[in-house]
Parts: sequence; structure tokens; C-alpha cells
Amino acid sequence: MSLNLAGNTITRVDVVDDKEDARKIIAMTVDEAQLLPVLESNPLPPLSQFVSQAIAKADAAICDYKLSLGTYAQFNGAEAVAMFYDHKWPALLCTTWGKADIDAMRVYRRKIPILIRTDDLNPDTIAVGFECCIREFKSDFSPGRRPWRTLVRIEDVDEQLKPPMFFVVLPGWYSSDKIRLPLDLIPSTFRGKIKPGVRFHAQANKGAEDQDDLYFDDFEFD
Amino acid sequence: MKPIEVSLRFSTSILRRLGEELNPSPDQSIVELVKNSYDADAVDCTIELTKTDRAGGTIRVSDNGDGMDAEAIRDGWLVLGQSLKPPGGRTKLGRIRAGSKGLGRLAALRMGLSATLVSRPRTNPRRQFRLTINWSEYDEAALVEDVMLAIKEEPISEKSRATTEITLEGLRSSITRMDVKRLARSLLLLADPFAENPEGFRPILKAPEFGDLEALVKNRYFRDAEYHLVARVDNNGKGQAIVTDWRGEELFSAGHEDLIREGQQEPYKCPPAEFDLWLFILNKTTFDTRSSTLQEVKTWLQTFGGVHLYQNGLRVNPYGNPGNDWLEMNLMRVRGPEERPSTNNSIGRVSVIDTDELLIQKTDRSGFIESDTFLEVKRFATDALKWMARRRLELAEMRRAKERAEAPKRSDRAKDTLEQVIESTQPKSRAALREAFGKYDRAKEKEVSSLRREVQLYRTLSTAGITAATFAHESAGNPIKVISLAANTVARRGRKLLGEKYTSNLEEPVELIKKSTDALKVLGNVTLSLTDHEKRRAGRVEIHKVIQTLLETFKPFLDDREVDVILDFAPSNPFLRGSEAAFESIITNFLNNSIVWFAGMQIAERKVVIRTQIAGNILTLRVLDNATGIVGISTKDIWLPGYSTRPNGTGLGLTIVRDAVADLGGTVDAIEHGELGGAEFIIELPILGA
Repeated sequence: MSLNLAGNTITRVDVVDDKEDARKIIAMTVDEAQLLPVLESNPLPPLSQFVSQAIAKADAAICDYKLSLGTYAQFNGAEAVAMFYDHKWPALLCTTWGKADIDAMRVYRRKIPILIRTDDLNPDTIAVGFECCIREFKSDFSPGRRPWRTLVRIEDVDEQLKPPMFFVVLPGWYSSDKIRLPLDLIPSTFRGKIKPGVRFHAQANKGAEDQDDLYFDDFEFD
Repeated sequence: MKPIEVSLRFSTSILRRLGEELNPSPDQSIVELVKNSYDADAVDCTIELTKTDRAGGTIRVSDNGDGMDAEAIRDGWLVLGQSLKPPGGRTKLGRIRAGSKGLGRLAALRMGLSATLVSRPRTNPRRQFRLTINWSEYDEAALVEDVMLAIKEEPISEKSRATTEITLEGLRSSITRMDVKRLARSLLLLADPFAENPEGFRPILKAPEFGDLEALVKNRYFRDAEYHLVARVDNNGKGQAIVTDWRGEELFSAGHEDLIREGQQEPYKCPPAEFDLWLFILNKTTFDTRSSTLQEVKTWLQTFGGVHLYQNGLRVNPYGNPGNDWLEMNLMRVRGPEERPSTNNSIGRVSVIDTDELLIQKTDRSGFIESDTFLEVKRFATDALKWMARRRLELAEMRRAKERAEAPKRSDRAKDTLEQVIESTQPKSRAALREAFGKYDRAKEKEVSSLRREVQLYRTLSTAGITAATFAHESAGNPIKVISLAANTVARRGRKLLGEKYTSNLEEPVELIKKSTDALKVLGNVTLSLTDHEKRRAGRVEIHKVIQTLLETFKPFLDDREVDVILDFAPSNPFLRGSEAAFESIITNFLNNSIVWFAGMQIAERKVVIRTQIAGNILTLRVLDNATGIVGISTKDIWLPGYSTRPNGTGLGLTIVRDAVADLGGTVDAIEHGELGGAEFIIELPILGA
């Protein structure tokens, strides 16, 4: 039971979800994809330790976003997938989400190649998702994930929102769409420059079709 | 061949570029000369303006500082672009020098056709040194070094006690009254006149405007401030703050952790700094018990208000100038008006002791370069303001709770007083008075009771909303997710294992599970979408877009109940300023009402029409259906809270509509049986455009 994806062999898949029923049903889907599920049933250690252990016992992971039930984990799935990304290790973030979740994930979005709705998880999307991750590690980006140096214009800032947000427009993307971003996304050294009317450059995936998929990184301010 | 030795040379036009073109305004140029006096340990510095209301006038700046000899003039005063002090160095009086690099001085000196410096060094009390620069000589020369200047040594003149005098003659342009006023203000604020222990440096401008302002600045109204915030950052970047009331008694205090609660956790990476802010409650009631008048304090704040920034004891322009709100106090007040200071009702200063010159002023003297250090100073001051606002809000909440508890007692006392008054009247009129008062009392009681019911209903519904949002969140994360994944797995495995048998026996029930799961997801999404806090921000609301988005969210509900919503929009894009939540709640409540009314009747086609029409800047929005119409309640009473014709109805939907429409500046009306036979609601809203 294994798959050869973009030159990598995937056999075991770590299933990370704080609900037992969800772990079981995801494991069944992994099994249908001709892969061996490894269920993370016990409370997880701190993030870096968890990542090392997962890499040692599996070849890829499927993580839920919220992992906070009981004492299951002290981190969320977005943080975990982003750290897996640093190790060039394929991981899918499989969850349901609303606007607030996207805001919280945005800081890590650059390192989340695949954000998939739970409904869309099936043997095919698992295989395609892992392959997409592996290709991205080799700088072979899918059109929606390729980074471009992009002009960003700040439209508004609202520090009363929780968390504080700023609103931007990407003239090179859908220019009429205002995108809500958490202030935390911006390194603290540039935070004071976030004001309406200010323009800056960042690496962003202008090929993304949905706001939820946009990431921003490598900020350049004048 | 021997190489030709050359050096960089400067065209005389560079003086204009470095002087006039970098000079923000005449007042700031003169302030640069005054800062030189400060650096020279002067205690007095006098600025005289003679006939400056027209071109050709004279400005004289004199001080009693250390004075300069020929060497100091040659190697210091005449050298442009060089700081005259080693970093961290202090003067004999312990001042940290302003460290002007001479560009501001150049701008000032070039204000006239000639500039004359006379200086008498303390080290040589019988001699003085005179230097005159005639700028016309530079106009005629090609290069700066082509013009030679002469420093003349001469016996001291007995007339003046000043040690250094600079005279600018033949001013190129006039100095307006506004310039003089700005100069007077800058001079008065330069050495922190509000400090308890100032540096002893008092520049004086000989002009009537100065006298008026000087009198004003001397009136320190700090004791009339309602609150005084004192926040500090120490050498380790740790902050602390305290707020006292007008008597100087402590109200709140904070350590570093409290200050940065909403910000970044690390220490402030800035030099030691202190932030004082005096905040005034500018209303008549507050000033009834104060020694000064409300108008006096208002005038004082208008002239000197704002938060000024001092570096090593000297004010840095333009922070705290009229229109300069570098801490964005006014913006924060707009976003959360309660308990926030603005530049109109407060005065303050941020004093930074910056011996290492980490804060660097821009060459054109338009403020500091926005370096990390400057942004950290700003972060500290902003955090302190936010912390004070949080504590004051907490205080306001406590006050409101106390007022709520006190209100019935006050009412009883008022009743007793009234009874006493009635008793003191003629016996024959007492009965009539008592009856009239009784009527009033009963009417008032009815009103209060209605308000109480309304508040209770809002609370109940808020709790229901919070609970629904929590359930929506949780159900999306677990049960719905598992049902959905399990149904998909059953479908996949069924097809694979059973083939045709799956299709004929299991496919339909599995698809029904999936369809119902989708409907459940919508329930959650609608709840979460309605509670999105961004929707409560005031901003541009595009009416058609909001209606369309809302209908997309409601679609599964409406489809399930076979309700057809027809949009009949005006052919444009009307928009208004308000919160999306307010407008959304209007449409949501109408749709909810229609769905409920349809549920109680047998009808083949359930229809709702949402129509918009625009006339001038008024949008008419009609929501009409073919349900039962308004029956069993008058159109006057449908807006009242708690009135409902349904057994378990909250009676709040249309009250919310009424309030939301009023918030948006509009009106709402209803017809029992409108165009389609059911209820018809007509809303008129002022719009900004279409």
C-alpha cells in the first residue's frame, strides 16, 4: 500500500484530529487511497517535538485546523502544516472554515499548499494534494500558488476588530475586492507603516482564484 | 605626468538648495537659531522683529550664552553639515545639546540680504568678534569658496549685555501675523513650559502676539484636568503607567504586562521616555466646581493642546502642532468614542532622553525619521492611551451599574418631595394635583415596564444568538463533518462493493443524508455569517449587493420552503454609509416573517418581491409577499417590542427593523395587504449615491 507521487513514495499518513470519530472516518478515506493511516490518538507533545515524531513514523499528514479539544494539542493545524512545510514534508490542512478561521490561518497561508474542505476529502484529492505539496517543495508551483512580487494598497485599518485587521486591495488581482488581513501578518518593524493609502510590495500568489487562498510574504515598504 | 589634483567644489546655488529649499517655514528657521542659544547654555534669548510685516525688515536674535571667539566661529558656526558636539556630551548646565547641523541656521541666515554675527566669548570679556555675510556676494560668485569672509576682532561695545547677537537685515519677504503667532507658540513650547523643573531656558519674542500667548501658557490649567496619565519606559524597555484624578489621587496603575496587553509582548526598544497626558472633560457641569472657566480651558487647549514630543528637553516640530495627531488619538476616538481623549480635550508631552541620538530628525525638520526607535516610542505612547481607555471604560461600566441601582431610590426621593409640595398647597387643589400626578406616574410606570421588557427580550435573544453561534461552530467542526465524510465513504465503498445493488437500494437514502447535511451546514453558516463583527463597522453599504449575498445564504432555506424571492432592483448601484449588520437585519427580519407567515397557510406559489426605486438621494425599498398579510394586530403596534401574533414569537423582529432603519436615518411603514395580497413594507433611506 503506497503511492509514488512526483518521485516520492508515500506509504503512511499521519491522521491528526482532536475528535476520535473524525480520525476514524479520515483513516477510512486514507485506506481507500491505498495508504496506511497512522492515527494520532493520544495528546500531542509540543509542536516541534510532534513534527519530528510524525516525520519519523509517517510520510505525510492530514491535519484538522482546530486541535484544542481537551488536552489534545497546544497548537493548531495551520501551525503544524506550516512547520511540516519547513521540513519539506507533505501535509494537507483538511477542515471546515469561516472568515475568522481564514484570518487566523493567513499568517501561515504561505506554507499551507493545500487547504481542503472536509467534504472534498476523498482518495483522489488526498493523492493530488500530496503530489501538489511535493511539487511545491521543488519550486514547481501550481498556478494558484506561484508567488509574484505584487503591489498592495492599504484601504483601511481597524484596530477595534479582534484581532486588529487592515484591509487591502491588490490592483494586479481582482482590484475591486477588499481583502481583510490580520495586522499580525506584518512584521513588527513595519507595523507602524500600516495606514490607509500606503502602498507596499509583497510576494503573493496572484494566480489564486479565491481570497481564502491568498498568501502574503516578504513585505517591502519604502 | 603628474596627476592634476582636484576637489569637489560647490556652486553657490547649493546654499539656496540647502537653505531656503529645506526650510519648512520662517518660524522653524528662527527656532533653529534659538536652539543654538540653548546649546550655548544661554538662559535668556531674545528675538526682536522690526518692520517685518513687509520685505526689508530686520530680525535680531541675542542671547547670554557662552559666546564664540574667531576660532569657534570659523571651525563651528560657519561649518555646515557638521554636528558641533560629541554624542552624549552635555553642556556646563547639564543640557544635552540639540545638535543642530547648521542647515536650519543657514536657512535662517539667508532670510535677509545680510546676516551679522557679533559674539563675545566669556573667556575674553573685553573683546568681541564680528562677521558679516552679504548674500549678494554669493549671488555674483560661481563657487562657495570664491567668497571670502572676514571675522573682525574689536573692543567690546558697552551697549549690549548679550554675548551673541545675530542680525538679519533686509528680509527677502515679510513675516505674516500667522508666522509670528506660530513662532511665538514654537518658542513658548520649545523648552517644555509645562515641566515642573524646566531647563531654565526661556526664549522671549518681542511682539504683541507673544505677550498674549505667554500669558496663556503661564495659566497652567493642569489642576482642572479630570485625569492625568503618567507613563514611563525605563532603560530596559519596561513600561509602567499611572492615572490620577484631578486631586492627584491614584485611580489606576499598570505594569509592563498590563500596558502591552493588546500589543506585542517584547520590551519597548526605545530610549527612556515619559508620557504625560492631561485629559479634560469639557462640559459645564464639570467646570461648575472649578476655579477656571470652561472657555478659558478650551482656549488654552486650542492653542497648546495635543501631545508634544520633546527630545532631550527641546520640542521637536511638528508633533502636537494643530492638525498633527501623531498618536492618532482622534482616529481612535472616532472608532471607540467612549472614554477616549482627542487633541481637542487633552494636552500632553512625550519626553525622550536620547543621549545616543537614536531618534534622528529629518533634514527638512519635518519630524523624526520613522525609524524602529521612533515607532517604538509611538507604540509605548499608544499602548498607554489604549490602557487608559480600557480602565476608563471599566470605570464607566461600574458607574452605569451604580446609576441603575440608584435610580429607584432617586425616584422614591423625588416622589416624597412631590408629596410634600402637594401637602403645602391649598387643600382644595391637593386632590386634583394627586390625581394628575397619579396619572403621570402610571403612564411613566407603563413606559418603564415596556422598556424593561424590551431590554429583557434583547438580552434573551442575544443569549440565544450566542448559543446558536457556538452550536453552529461546534456542529460544523464535529458531527456535521463526520456525517458528511461518513456518507461520502459509504457512497464510494457501496458503489465499489455492491455496484448496481448500491444504486438501486442505498444510493437514494445516502444522497438524502448528504442533502440534509448540506442543509444543516447552511444553518450554521447563516448564524456565523450574521455574527461576523466586521459587519458592524460603519462604512459603505452597497444595498443590492448585501441583499443578493444574503439571499445566497438563505437560498437552501427558501428553496426548502418553496419560497421564490424576486428581485426587482433599480438599474444602478445605490449605496449608503452605515453598518452592513444594520441593513442586513432589516432584510433578514422581513424574510423570517414571510417564511413564518407562509408556514401557516396553504398556497401554491409562495412569493416575496424585494423592490428598490431611487428618487434623488432617497432609496425606497419595498418588501412584499403573498402570505397572510398583517392580521390581528394594527400596523401601528407591529413595531412595538414584545407584540406578536405568533404563540412563541419574540415580537422583536419588526422592532429591530424600526431601530435599524432609524439608525440608517430612514423611515419605515407597513401596509396590511399590499400589491401581492400579503404584507408590504416600505422603507425610505437616504443614500450617498447610486
